[in-house]
Amino acid sequence: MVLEGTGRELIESCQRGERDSFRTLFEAHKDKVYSIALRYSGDEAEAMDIAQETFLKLFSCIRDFRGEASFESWLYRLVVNSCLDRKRRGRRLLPLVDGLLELVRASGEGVLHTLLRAELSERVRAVVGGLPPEQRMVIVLRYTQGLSYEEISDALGCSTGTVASRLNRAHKVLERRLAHLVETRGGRDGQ
Amino acid sequence: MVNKFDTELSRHLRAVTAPEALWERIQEGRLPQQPVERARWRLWAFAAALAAMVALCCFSLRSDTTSYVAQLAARDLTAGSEQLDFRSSDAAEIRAWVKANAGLDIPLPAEHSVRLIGVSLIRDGGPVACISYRIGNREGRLVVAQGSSAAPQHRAMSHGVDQGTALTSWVMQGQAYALATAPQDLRAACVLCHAEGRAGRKAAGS
Repeated sequence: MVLEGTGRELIESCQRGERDSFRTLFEAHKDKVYSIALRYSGDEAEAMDIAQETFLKLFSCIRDFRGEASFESWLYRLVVNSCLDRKRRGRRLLPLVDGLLELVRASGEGVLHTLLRAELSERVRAVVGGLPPEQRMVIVLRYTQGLSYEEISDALGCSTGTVASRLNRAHKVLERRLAHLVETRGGRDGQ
Repeated sequence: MVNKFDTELSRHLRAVTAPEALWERIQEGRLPQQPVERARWRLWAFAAALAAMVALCCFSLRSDTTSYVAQLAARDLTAGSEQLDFRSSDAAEIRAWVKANAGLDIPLPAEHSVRLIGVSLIRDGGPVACISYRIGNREGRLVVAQGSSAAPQHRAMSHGVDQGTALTSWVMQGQAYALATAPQDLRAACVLCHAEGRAGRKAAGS
């Protein structure tokens, strides 16, 4: 049985329309949903919209959940669909920031170390944000949620082969665009 | 083996904590209602629909009052009924009797050229007064019942001729009126309630 113990009871009470249970279910999954939405969209306001939409969908159609599949897979599908339904937003990283990164990287360790780390993260996210939606989603599910190929294939409703293919293509793009990260951090082991 | 590139990606794309405001946002978007709330909502909706239906029926009934009294007036005139509850040719007496027995105040002038015969009461739900009168050798009926409008002047006035009988109905000061008379006597019959005019004198004299 996919749903066990309190998880199953919680979902059943949500299916009965008990408001407190909705809150409990929300608390259990909010970070997961919001994180995927944020890493996919790259924008906090957009992520809030996606997360709100996902939970409203979840609560409104939770009666349709029969427990035949994993609840988490079901939830991932909801958030994935909400993300993919959104129009892709433009890249947020400005050329000025790119220039700043080059400067700081050239000077090695500096007083802006903390800022550099933050900007580096922004850079990575911006490059991820530039990926095609399907590749971006695979990357987010893989690295934000740490899902296996099989779990990703469940969430996306595609084969594990497709997941592997998309990940491979995404990796190539990321390695090319984040070459400095690969060089600085020592590259991909085993490749 | 997990390579450093994967580690870096995991670090930069790590999961975050959802803002507290997210729950409020979801509540703004409305959570699904509980079954009890849905049932309560349905009950309210049913009650509202029922109230609307009753109001509509009442309105419909009220607006039908004038046509109802018109039908009564026409039927009574056609039947030529002589059975009166109160016989009098005095307008003030008829007005007082109707007021006492039916609670209706019919503003009949003290003197007019239309010859009053008497009044009969019809009790069909509420009291209806049917005043018989004569203009020349032709009889007519003025039927009055409780109406819906408190307007001082004629409202919802309608007029028609049915099988040689002129039927005029209106609502005034909360009462529904219908006049059934010969078409040529219609204007003269107006003096039943209004101050006597030239038309009334002329018709009554003919």
